[in-house]
Amino acid sequence: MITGEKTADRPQKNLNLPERQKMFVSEFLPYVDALYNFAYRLVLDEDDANDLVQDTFLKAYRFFDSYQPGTNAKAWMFRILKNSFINDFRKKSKEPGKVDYNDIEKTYNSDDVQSNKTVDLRVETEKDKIGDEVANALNNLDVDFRTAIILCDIEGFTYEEMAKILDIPIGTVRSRLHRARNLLKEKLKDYAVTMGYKN
Amino acid sequence: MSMAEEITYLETGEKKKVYTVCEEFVRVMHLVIDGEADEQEKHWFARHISSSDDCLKHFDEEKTFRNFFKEKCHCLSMPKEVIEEIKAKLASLGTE
Repeated sequence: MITGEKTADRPQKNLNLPERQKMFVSEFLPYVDALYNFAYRLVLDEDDANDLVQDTFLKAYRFFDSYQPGTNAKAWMFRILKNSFINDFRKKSKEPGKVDYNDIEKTYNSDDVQSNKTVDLRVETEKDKIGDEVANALNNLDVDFRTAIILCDIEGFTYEEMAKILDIPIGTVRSRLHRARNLLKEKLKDYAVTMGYKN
Repeated sequence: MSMAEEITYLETGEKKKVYTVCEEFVRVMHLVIDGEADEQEKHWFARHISSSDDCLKHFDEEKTFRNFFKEKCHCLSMPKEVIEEIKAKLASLGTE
């Protein structure tokens, strides 16, 4: 057994519950917005993005013992999120629509049924924001290309980190990025001209 | 930017794609901006932009575009109530 070594590498194993939770939150919560941004760009739906990020945090907590503090926490979380997206959300979106009767029952039995009809202005503002041409161009890319652009150009991951997050060779990271950028440029060409940019 | 050309070796008939200088410039430019260029590529790139105003301009435009793009696509924040929900769920996991 190499438990002693592993415990030294992973002090969270020796912590009591409150300390462990505190460490988890301080280590990973700073990336919540970046994760949400990534999740949203993958699923293109606010509720699904919320679910995906929540799911990511819960999975990460479950596997917290395998995380080595001081290593790349952000990349670790992005990898979990990407895997959750592939394993759960992509599968779900390919299945025919399902009705969750528990949700319906909960909604109709609750006291504030009427409040569900209220328009959430925050959501509307968010929709306006992401209705921007540039974000639209990104959202319209195939998910693999979109992911490459987000990880590199928005989140600033290195090619090596991207290869680990996406489980692909570095050569594939390079070629995917190259193709993604060409596709994005193509989609943005018209927009750039209207904004006063030349080719 | 110019496209790749395909050349055929007369002796063997083998076909190979070669890139013009500008195609190579674009490839290396992205590596430089991404911080992934090696020393040789950095050196080649520095020499190239010092001798070509068009390539220098293209490099500047690409950097401007990258900043603009990042600014436009990095604007989403997780709703505060969902963050609280995550914290609550984590806390309940700990006590199970």
